[in-house]
Amino acid sequence: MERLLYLGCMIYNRFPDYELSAKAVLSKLGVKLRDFHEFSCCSSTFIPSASDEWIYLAAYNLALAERQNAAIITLCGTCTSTFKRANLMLQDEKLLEKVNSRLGEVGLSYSGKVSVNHLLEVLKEKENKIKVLVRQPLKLRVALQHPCNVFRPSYVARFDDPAKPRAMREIVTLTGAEIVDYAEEYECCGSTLLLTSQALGIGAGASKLASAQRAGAEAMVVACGNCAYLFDRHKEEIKKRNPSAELPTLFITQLLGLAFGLSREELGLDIRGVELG
Amino acid sequence: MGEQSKVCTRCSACTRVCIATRLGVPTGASVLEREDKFTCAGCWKCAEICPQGIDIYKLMMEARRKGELPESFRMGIRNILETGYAMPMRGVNAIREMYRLPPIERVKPEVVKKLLRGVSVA
Repeated sequence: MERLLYLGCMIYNRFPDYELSAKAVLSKLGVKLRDFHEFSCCSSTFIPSASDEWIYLAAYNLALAERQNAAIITLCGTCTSTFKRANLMLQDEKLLEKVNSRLGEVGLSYSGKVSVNHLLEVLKEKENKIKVLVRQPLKLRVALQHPCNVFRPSYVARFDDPAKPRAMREIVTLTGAEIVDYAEEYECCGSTLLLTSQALGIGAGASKLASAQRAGAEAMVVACGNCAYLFDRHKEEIKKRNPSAELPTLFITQLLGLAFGLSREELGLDIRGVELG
Repeated sequence: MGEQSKVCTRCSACTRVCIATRLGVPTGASVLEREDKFTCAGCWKCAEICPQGIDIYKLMMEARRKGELPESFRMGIRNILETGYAMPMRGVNAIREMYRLPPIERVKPEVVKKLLRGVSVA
């Protein structure tokens, strides 16, 4: 089955290098990808905080995928959880009917059955292929930021251990990079706190990066645009808060791509200006 | 487990794993007692750890809908209602071109207005 790469607002707007590297790596892994035209915001944390109509917008994207007979691959945590939650809720036939009546107004319908997986789930399935493709085991010490909403709430995510997820560690290990243990590894990045308090968000980011740096990390590996938004787009504020909190941010597909022998240009590292070691 | 048994015992398991609490945001014995329902990282460790199995995500969203939205949330919602995306999309295709990525067709704003007609930030 072909898959649509759901960018969400964050990757579409701010991190084309995540998209570029995900496409490059997934293509090497034999995943057939198509661009997801006319996608919208999943609803994010915004619409559910205001109205139960969030499910219409989530279902709109799922219905678009169904019309193309395709599954969805997501790149961020909240988008993943939002779509999976919608699918779970739409097992209720009455709600499905109600949602379809709204979707009908824009010429769509939905069965509730489009499969949604975060990138990490897809990479986990392809572990054997990744092993074969790693050509340059990386000499790099990295810290991991596990994307919360890919694992929690677990009754929605149904993937990995919600308290101590292992997937990212298992995938990154295959690249040869050394994974450092750091005190705050299983903490949330705190990026969403930026919405109501810049100081809290920056404080969370500074604490995390400093903790990883003390443990000897040379880069922070992420698998969600929201984490990158804090660590990368707010790096100057974070550095101001704590001068020893300075680490380049790498998307997991950039790390994999480097291990596959892809160039900085193919992974968008040149344009975002990521300097390693 | 029936809904009746899902009562908060104020054991504070949720606040102990809450990043906002750790960073000093005033919280009662439970994250649901926090006055500011929006200062939340959305990591849902609280929902995972609750020994009573309370669906904290659901209750938190319901509580938010009763209160006033902070300006950042209003802005996010306004953007979604106007363009279909939470963030401003000006110049996106030029940036994509720099990365040698093809343009993506955007959702039609009238589609979003129809789907979310009950949502307002007025």
